[in-house]
Amino acid sequence: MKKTIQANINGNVYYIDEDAYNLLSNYLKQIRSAFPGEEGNEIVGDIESRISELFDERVTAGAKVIIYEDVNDVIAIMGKPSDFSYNNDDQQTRPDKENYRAPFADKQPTDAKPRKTLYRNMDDKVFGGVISGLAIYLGWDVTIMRVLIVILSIMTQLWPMCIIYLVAWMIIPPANTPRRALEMRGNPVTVDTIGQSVLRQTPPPYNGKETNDNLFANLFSIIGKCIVGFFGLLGSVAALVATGFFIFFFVALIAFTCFDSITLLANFSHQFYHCTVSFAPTIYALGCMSMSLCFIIPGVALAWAAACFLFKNKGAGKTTILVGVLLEVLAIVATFILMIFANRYTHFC
Amino acid sequence: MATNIDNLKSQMRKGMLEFCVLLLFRRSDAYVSEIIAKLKDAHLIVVEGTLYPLLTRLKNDGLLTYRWEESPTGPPRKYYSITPLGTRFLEELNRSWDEISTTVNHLIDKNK
Repeated sequence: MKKTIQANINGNVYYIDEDAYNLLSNYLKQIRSAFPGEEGNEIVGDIESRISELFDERVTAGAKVIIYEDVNDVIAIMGKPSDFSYNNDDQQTRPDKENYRAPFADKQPTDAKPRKTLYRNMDDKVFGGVISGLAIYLGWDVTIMRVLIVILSIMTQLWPMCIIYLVAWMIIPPANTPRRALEMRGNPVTVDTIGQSVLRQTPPPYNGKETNDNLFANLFSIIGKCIVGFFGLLGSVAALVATGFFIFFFVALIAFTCFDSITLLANFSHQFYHCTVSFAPTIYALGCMSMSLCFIIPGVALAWAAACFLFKNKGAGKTTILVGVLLEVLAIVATFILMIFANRYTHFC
Repeated sequence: MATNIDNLKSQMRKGMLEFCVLLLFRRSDAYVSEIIAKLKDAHLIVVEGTLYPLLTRLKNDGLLTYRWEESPTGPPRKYYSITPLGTRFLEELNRSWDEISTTVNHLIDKNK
């Protein structure tokens, strides 16, 4: 049994097996990278429409679903970009294939060793692929790097590292194209290497048999999911409790603003503070609200991240993360300022 | 040496490809799939992908133009035709081909 994906190619809808879909989508990405720019759009459009014609032949012949072999056949008919992408000018000056580079690679000097670029590794990631990308950039082992980062973040009480991670997630671009994946590893970007990397990325067809090798992998993935689930739960509980506090202090704030706050406090609690000015409780309530906010944002972020990971949803967008981090920083600063003010005008009994 | 011969052969074929594609449009307009079928019959292309960058380039150079034609099944398809500029270009190529082929044939005959 295989999962089937509905795909729209050039305005026609096809049912495609998942493995076949991945192969086709990687193939199209490979072509896309080989033909940049406006002209490339047109070429890719033409090729897509031809692929849809070839699929039509199969559908007319009675195929209900496009399978892996169909896509392989189509790729064999269409050819790899390295077989057919050449510029008119390159044609004469191209007897040696070794020196040939894709048009877009011309910007780099031919003999310079291409430098690695820091990207988020999308092939091997837990949350955003930040650490994985950094490990490749520095040439370290990913697992050791992850363990070190986890230890470091526990030692620094989690939040600073979490914020740094979120900021890095936001700033570092993802290696989501074959070209970027090559740049990430410092490999030269040529049509041939792109082709290889695309083929490497595409998993072989799923033959319907689950092997025992996957048992341990499954076990680890279950344990991993449990850990992520636990953190997600922790995040949601923190967010819920903090929201409760937030609402409580909000109500208190309204009460303090509407009524005589000092009398109200005196009735509310016997051993409360001696306030020197009447607006001190208001500031206090505001401070507590922003302090709750300091916990709500990371709590929600943690819960959200865990949910995205567990249910394989798309993560938060850049803007969302940016706004979240900004709000968090603002809330922390506001809490400090408000609490300092509130304490200045209050004496403990 | 074998690779060199293959390379040379493919160079020759590639050099001829644009000329042949324009030739196919001389009499009548055509869909890409028709052109592909004819080129494959003539063993001029191995993989179909070769043709698309070529057609786009010829179109951008103003030698070919296309219009969208409704098709009985599926979405509209590109229907290519040659432009006056393309016709002139083709005649030019034709002349130089005649020269080359005369020279080469002459050499072949002479050295038999």
